[in-house]
Amino acid sequence: MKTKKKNYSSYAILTIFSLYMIFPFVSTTLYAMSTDWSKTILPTDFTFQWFVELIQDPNFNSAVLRSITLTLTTLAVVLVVMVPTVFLVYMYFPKVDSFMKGLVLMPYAIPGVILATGLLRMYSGSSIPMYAVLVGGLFIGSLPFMYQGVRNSLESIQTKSLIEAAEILGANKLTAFIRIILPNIKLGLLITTLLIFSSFFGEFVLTNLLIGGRYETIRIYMLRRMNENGHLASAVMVSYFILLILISLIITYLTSSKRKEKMKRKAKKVTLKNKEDMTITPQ
Amino acid sequence: MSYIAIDNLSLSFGDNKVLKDISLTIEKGELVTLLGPSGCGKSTLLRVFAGLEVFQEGQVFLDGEEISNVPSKNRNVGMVFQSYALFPNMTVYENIAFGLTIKKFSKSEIKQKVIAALQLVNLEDKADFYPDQLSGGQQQRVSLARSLVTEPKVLLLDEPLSALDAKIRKQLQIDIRDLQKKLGITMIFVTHDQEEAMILSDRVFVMSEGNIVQQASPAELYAQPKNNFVASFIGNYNIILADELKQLDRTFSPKSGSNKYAIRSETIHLEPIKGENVLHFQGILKEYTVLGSTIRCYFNAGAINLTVDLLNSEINIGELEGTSELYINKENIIAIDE
Ligand SMILES: Nc1ncnc2c1ncn2[C@@H]1O[C@H](COP(=O)(O)OP(=O)(O)OP(=O)(O)O)[C@@H](O)[C@H]1O
Ligand SMILES: [Mg+2]
Repeated sequence: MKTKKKNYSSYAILTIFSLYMIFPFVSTTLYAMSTDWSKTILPTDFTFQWFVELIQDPNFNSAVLRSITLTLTTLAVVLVVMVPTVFLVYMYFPKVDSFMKGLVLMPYAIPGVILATGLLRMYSGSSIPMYAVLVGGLFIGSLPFMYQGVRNSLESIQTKSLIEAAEILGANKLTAFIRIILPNIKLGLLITTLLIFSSFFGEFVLTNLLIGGRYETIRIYMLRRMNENGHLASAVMVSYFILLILISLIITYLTSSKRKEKMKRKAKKVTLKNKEDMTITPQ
Repeated sequence: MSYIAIDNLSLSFGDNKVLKDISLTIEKGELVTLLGPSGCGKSTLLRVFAGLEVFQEGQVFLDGEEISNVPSKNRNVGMVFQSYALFPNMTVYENIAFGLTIKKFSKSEIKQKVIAALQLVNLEDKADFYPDQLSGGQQQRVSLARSLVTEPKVLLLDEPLSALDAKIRKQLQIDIRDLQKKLGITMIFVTHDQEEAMILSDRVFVMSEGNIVQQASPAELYAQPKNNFVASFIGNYNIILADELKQLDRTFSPKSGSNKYAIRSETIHLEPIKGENVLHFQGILKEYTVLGSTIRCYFNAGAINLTVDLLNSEINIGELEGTSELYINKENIIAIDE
């Protein structure tokens, strides 16, 4: 009885929470699918016209493409540079580690506008392309998540003993890192990656100030269209949201562990064994 | 020359001198334990053999070669960690095969060796499991198999059993000793449990604050602890000064120069011992605890407190009142260092 009661209240809390999260999305979606919604509880009509308009707008498509390119480029740079760095610092330079933990929080202390102005002043006349400067700026912005995220992953799998065990078994540090550490921090990396991905994807201040005029990303496009028409703006918002979810799912799928497959394969083997006398059709 | 030797090794972490001028030798096929309280430097010394710690002074030899500067991966030693340190992303089979794949054995050789190793630790049926699907005892057996399969020159074990419950620990102690004898492999086993050290070892190195205070076989160690520290660490010894023993029985005469003596609690008796060589005095029972087959009694003999272990089957503790007669054979009064 008691536990049942508890269940009800926890379900209630969960429901309220879900409603709170879903309601704005649903109403935005409804607004994006109507032309008139002013004096009624629900919209009076239903249309895909705004979405169609959006998809047919070449500016929208190239904005999406630009955002994805920018985000993936930056993400690649961040991952390739930071994962080995954090690993080395964590394993072999404990003193640097405690210094770094403080240092990586710095981006929080600097507002985006100031960072952008600083970067503009520093690099606007130089031969370094602004695109690279932007990637660099975003890189810095991702440090707090990245450093702590990778570090926590390393800590949670007892990296030190695993590396020691591998070395004693004859592996060099690189082999140990690739074959043992990377596969085990994959999940933690994935979560950190998703976090950074969505923050890059939605980044506005730096992008707009540094290369906004020449390089319209999805957020800049959104802002521009929002002033034109509320329904269209809602459609942009909903598409943006769905796009984020889709990309997150793809990343999750691509990095999901092989283990499940292996377990499946094993399960299959067992069932095959059990059905030995039945005829098995090869796939 | 011995199979394994350490000469005058010192190691500090910053200002903290953790190993102080250690020298030792170990013969091929021996199982030795490093025994001592927490923080005395056991793990650090063990890790020196594995090449995992940098030391400032001294030399390490293995199988006739100096290995002080040889990196871990080229030392051909095995190590079993307290935390198992199995690779979570690999199955039991892949864990055990890891060292062999690094050493570039052929696939069929690897298979044959891994299966043999699995049989050795009785885990043939768990080959496709992941570490987190196994119990602690099973994981430690996988770890053992993983270290043994590469045929290391010496197997290092750092408190491998201390995370396991008493029953499994006992069983694995026996298993490890059997394996060691069967394979004739040299093992260095770290523990802080004196009973474990006694059961397993050919020889015990007792450590205290970065020194090896005594090295001896379990029997020797029990019969002849070298000093106060070893005596109190190894068993239930009463540590008594020469003057106090004289107060108990005037016939006591100190052995040459010694001031401190250790008396094991089960060598003090209630029934008279025949012969000349006996210390005889009175004591009053203050308290007792029944431990099972023995009863641990606390006597006051004048100003001296004595712990005495009596066999439960031989006395009726309830009838023991007032002053008792106590006897010690003088052979069992062991002179120890300060
Ligand atoms: N990496 C390190 N850096 C600094 N000090 C260390 C390090 N490793 C160990 N020490 C210190 O060296 C001393 C000995 O440590 P060690 O781990 O060898 O003890 P131990 O005998 O194995 O103890 P336990 O039974 O608790 O495992 C301790 O005082 C410890 O604080
Ligand atoms: Mg230790």
